[in-house]
Amino acid sequence: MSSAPSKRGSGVTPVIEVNDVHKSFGQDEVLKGVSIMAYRGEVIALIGSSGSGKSTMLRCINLLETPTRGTLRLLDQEIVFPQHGAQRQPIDRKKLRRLRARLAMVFQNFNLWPHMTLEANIMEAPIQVLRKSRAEARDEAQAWLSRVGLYAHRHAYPDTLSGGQQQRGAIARALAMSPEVLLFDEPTSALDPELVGEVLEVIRNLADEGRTMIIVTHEMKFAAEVADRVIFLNQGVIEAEGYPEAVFGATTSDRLRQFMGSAYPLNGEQQ
Amino acid sequence: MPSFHLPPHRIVLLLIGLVIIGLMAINMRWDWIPAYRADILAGLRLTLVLLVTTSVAGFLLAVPLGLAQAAGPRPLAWLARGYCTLIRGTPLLLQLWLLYYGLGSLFPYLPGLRDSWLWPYLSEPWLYAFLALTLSFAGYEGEIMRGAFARVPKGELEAARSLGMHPLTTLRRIWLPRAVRRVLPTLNGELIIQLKATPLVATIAAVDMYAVFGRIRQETYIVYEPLLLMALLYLVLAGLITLAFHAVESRRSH
Ligand SMILES: Nc1ncnc2c1ncn2[C@@H]1O[C@H](COP(=O)(O)OP(=O)(O)O)[C@@H](O)[C@H]1O
Ligand SMILES: [Mg+2]
Repeated sequence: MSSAPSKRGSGVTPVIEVNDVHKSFGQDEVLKGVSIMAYRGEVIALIGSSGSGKSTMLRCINLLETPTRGTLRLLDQEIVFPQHGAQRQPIDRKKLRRLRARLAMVFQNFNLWPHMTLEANIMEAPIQVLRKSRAEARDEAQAWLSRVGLYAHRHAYPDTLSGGQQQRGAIARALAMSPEVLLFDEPTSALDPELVGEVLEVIRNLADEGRTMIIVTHEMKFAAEVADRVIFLNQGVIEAEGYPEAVFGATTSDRLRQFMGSAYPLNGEQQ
Repeated sequence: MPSFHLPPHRIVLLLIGLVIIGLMAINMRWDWIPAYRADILAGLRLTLVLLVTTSVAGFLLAVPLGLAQAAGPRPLAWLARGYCTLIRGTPLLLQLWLLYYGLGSLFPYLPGLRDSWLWPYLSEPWLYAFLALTLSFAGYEGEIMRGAFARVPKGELEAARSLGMHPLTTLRRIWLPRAVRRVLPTLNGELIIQLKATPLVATIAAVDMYAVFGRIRQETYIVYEPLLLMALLYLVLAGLITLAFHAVESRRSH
């Protein structure tokens, strides 16, 4: 697949459509009406300073958080918040779980299960959620582990692995669900600088494969290279959005210029 | 396998121990043992059965007690917390007596119970011993499990949730095994405490190891020797528990 950024997104209907989503924690409104569209095969980089609501946005898309207000269209499912009427649950629990399985999430802290080997970590959800046989799940787990370069470590327990290896394992665990969308929440932020590259490499390959992905990241150079579109979130509002060249070259938003200039220089330490 | 290391001070201790045992064997009276062998074994068996059954049953109760406190709806959490506080805040002896003399004396008034198949069991002291020890263990372990459940990192559960895992599957496959692994080292000590709580059942006429040795002392007028043998037996049981835990923990160091 071509990696020409602007050509990657395709299709008429978006895979994910976030429409005017609000999210409050108590009195604290963290998302103040955010709208995002992600088309099939598109890679979106979500950037913004700490506390701007990036994680909350991603968690709403995976339904780990329930939006206070707004509409989500996730794959073929439309969910309106808040749901009125007799049924308070915005979506039937079983449907919700099925939906989550198709929107796999990769976390900043990997969150591998420490009491299972790497291979068992990856087999777990396909067996328990997708009801695959152990043999099938194992074959696939080994294939995914090869993909992320961890086949030799398949019998290792997570805490014996480096952060970079754990995160690659967590990516394999997400991939094993054959998700239609991959959500990354700062996948390299918990890593030592020298381990960032190997994880970004895996993500870059996934992008080149044409996977639909939303990536929250502080790796600006990476975002510029891999993303088809960049969204800059500031205090719960989308402040700028567009092709990477446009956003990173932007002069329209003071806040964006400030953000780009101060915290994360474009030519950061990442190779 | 850990190799046994014998530095000089251990050798000295070992020698002193051997000398003491030798002196005990020669100077003390052990001739009563053959006559009471069957009784001692029966008492040992009841002690062991009580220990194993009450800690298994108690732990099974402790899991929902801990879970309710760590993640349950508020009324349930309060109920569980109240139970654990009550159990941990009152003497086991009192709980045992309340069950045996209190509950036990209520049963005859329940219509029909006297004629049912249950009746013979309801007058057995070991039933109340089992109940009291189980409820007590559940109270203590429920509190420990609460902490263990709460200390499993949220992210690990969230990862399961984000992959579409059913909450019960998450509990069975992730949360519970992670919590149990955390309490294993604590559980060793808790089991030994439970072992040492079993002699209380002798106060409601259940004939456990402690009761047997009490009777031996009364019948033979021998003061120290039965106590020493009893101490040795409890010590051996406690040692076996610890060995079992070491075996379990080294087998699954993860
Ligand atoms: N579960 C929560 N409860 C209360 N406040 C929260 C919760 N999650 C996030 N927040 C708050 O929402 C804001 C945005 O957080 P987050 O989405 O994690 O930002 P980002 O990922 O961009 O750093 C922060 O001020 C944070 O304190
Ligand atoms: Mg975040």
